[in-house]
Amino acid sequence: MKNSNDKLVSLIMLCVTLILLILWIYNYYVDIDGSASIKDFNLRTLVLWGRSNTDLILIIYVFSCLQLAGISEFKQRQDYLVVALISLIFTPIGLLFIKEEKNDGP
Amino acid sequence: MNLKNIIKRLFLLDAHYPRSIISFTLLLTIFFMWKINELKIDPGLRSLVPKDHKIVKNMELAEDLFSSNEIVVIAVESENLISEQILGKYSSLHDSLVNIPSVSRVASIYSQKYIVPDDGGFEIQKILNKIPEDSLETSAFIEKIQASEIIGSLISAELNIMCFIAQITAPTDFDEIAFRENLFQIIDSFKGIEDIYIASSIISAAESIDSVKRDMRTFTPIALGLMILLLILSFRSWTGTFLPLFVVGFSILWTFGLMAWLDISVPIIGGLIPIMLIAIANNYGIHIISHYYEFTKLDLNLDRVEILKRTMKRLGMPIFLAGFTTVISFLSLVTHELSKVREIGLLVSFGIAVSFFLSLLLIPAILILVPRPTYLGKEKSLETVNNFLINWGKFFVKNRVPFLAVLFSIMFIFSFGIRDITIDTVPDNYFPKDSKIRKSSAVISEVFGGSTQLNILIEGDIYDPLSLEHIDKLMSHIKEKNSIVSSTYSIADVVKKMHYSFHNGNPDSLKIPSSRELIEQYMFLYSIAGEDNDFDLILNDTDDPNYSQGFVRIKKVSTVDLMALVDDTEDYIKSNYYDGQPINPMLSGPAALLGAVSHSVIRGQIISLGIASIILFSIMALVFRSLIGGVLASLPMLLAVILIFGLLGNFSIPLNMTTSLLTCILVGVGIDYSVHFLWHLREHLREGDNLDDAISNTMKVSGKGILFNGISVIVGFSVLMFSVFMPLKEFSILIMASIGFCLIGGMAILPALVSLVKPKFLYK
Repeated sequence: MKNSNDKLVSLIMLCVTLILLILWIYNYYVDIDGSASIKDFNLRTLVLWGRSNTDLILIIYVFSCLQLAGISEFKQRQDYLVVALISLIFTPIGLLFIKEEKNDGP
Repeated sequence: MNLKNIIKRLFLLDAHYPRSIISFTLLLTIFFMWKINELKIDPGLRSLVPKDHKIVKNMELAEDLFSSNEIVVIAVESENLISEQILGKYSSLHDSLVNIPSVSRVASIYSQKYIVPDDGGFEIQKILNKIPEDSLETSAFIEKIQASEIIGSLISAELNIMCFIAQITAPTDFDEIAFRENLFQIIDSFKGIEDIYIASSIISAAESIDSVKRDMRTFTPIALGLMILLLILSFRSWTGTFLPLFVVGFSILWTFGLMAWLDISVPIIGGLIPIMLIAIANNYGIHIISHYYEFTKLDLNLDRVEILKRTMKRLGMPIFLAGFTTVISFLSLVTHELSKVREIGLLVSFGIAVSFFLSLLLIPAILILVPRPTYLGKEKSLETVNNFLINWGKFFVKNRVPFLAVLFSIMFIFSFGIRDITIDTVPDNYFPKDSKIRKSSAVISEVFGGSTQLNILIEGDIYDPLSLEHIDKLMSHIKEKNSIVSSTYSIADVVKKMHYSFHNGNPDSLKIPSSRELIEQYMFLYSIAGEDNDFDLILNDTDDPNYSQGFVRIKKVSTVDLMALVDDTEDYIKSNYYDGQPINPMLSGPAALLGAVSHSVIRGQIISLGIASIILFSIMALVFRSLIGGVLASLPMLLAVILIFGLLGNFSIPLNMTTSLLTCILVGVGIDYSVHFLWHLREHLREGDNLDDAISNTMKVSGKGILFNGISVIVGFSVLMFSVFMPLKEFSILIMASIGFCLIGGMAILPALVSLVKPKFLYK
């Protein structure tokens, strides 16, 4: 009973969080000196942003790889150090080729 | 309800509603983030000082009465300075500077006037009426330069460097970065073979912000990357790596979010908030994970909830104590004289409290939901680290006497350095000696007497001869008594010059006239010959002024000399004008503020450190119900403080705004390590271990948390050593040393001392 309540409450809160997050991002782009708007956010601006923020892209890549390696650790019962390295070197696609461990540990 | 029950209930909440806790944390994070993009950075020195500080009030009054409170000095060096081409080129620079909105006035050879004795009177002439076109005009111009006494103030003696002194109106919300960009854009359009130097506290402040932003953007990801790498190697799991970091990330977001909601601007030292939280706040999470894994290894058949229950039962109290004492050490900053430091103390306390609660709620909630690392099931997992920690503990227990003797001897020798601690709050010194900003300052200081200004706001009947004589005496005193003062300028100088010129340059008449009527006549004559705004900077009203402003130019700025200048001037004012008669002088301007801030840095440092130490000692003595317990818990932290201050003195690292906050990190981290060590040692002794086994077991579990936390912070912050911005570089060295000393305190001094003293409180 508590478990289902927990799932329901968390689902509602996650939905509210998601809506607020979208609103926050929207407001953030509309507010910048009143001129830029979310409509300006297209592929070209994205590429331009990427060119001047290579460091951020690298950080996002590393962070995503490490998070996906975490999922692999839990789902495929892998050693995190190994899957993190695979994910970073061979991109997260490399995680798809890992066989699930039978011995699932503690 | 006691604390143990509260922690137990918190855990039950975790066990029953883990998903709700996670989503509620995310929801709250969005709430705090909502206004975070509205956060403003306030790099000004003034924001650090309370609004009711007398110098801030004087500065506000001066801003109301006069049109400027800061200066920017731009110097142009050329071998052919006195040539038609160069003079013509830079006359446009003068005009461009005048057109900058926040510039109220520009003094240069293009605008400067001088008083020329005339038959039975004087006239006001411009030094440069027309750009000289031939050698005759050039010679006449050079003669005028020499007659007008601007050598050393607007042009160098060799006539190869001239300067533009722009008077700036910089209110509290002045945008230094925008001003610098505007100015640099103008200067760039004049770039040629000539060398151009710019010096000003405004430019230094703007450069500081840019350097901090640039270096933080470059080094923070590398630092975090290194910390993540170390945590991956230490825990070999996603939970061990990211849960402590997520808690720190949330606490940083919540803290800055709270600042945005409360409309608190981020001062320049606010950049230390994330650093402090990273250094301190991931501690709690690391300890939980370390214990959780260790308990898992002890009984692989138990389920996650049961293991977590044991972990929280064991860790709840020490984590609470560690969090509480760290919050107390930061709250001691509320006694600091600088308002922004007080704010930072409160905000970091909030951040630590957030990370403490999230560590108790969020981390167990996630750990309940996800499986444990598979390697924990293997027999020899973490064996190398465990063996290292056990042997480490045994080494210091076995060699406790020589170790403690050597340590205390080193500390004794090191402590002598404390006498040599210097203080440096001058923004220019934040940059390396060979940086452009320092070189420019050096040139301008050498040739034109510096770019820092102490303003003296004077209230009184200004045209009264007695008042003018006192103004003259005050300015002469300042110049004679302080070697850092390059020049002074006040209304008394103008009146003396007019009187002197009126008497055909008779040297005996270079003094304040004794008649008020005569002074008023001089001013009237000047107003006819000169322009309306000629006295805007020094008189609030040319007809009947009751406020005047004097300027003291300072050449080489060192904080100690600046403090001495401010102290000496204040003493002179107090002893001569305590009743405000015949004049009431008041210190104002950036130099006075810098002097005041420097005093506050030292006093605040000593007071807050003293208060924190006393409170923490009392808490520890109460918790362990023993004075020895209080001493043992506080000793490593106090020894680390002595070592750090010794390091500052021995390696000539100056005490500044950032280094002064370092002791709080040191106290916070140091006490955390002590609490974890002593608490768990007592638990093991209560469970029946003998002292040696108890130390080994404590090292194996708590020592691991302490080691992983300390090493990850040290390695992470080591990258800041490559910063070109001196405060960041020094801060990284000091934070690494601080955490290193705390590690030695928690993992070497405490085992050695405990095995030597065998305190009774541990056996109760």
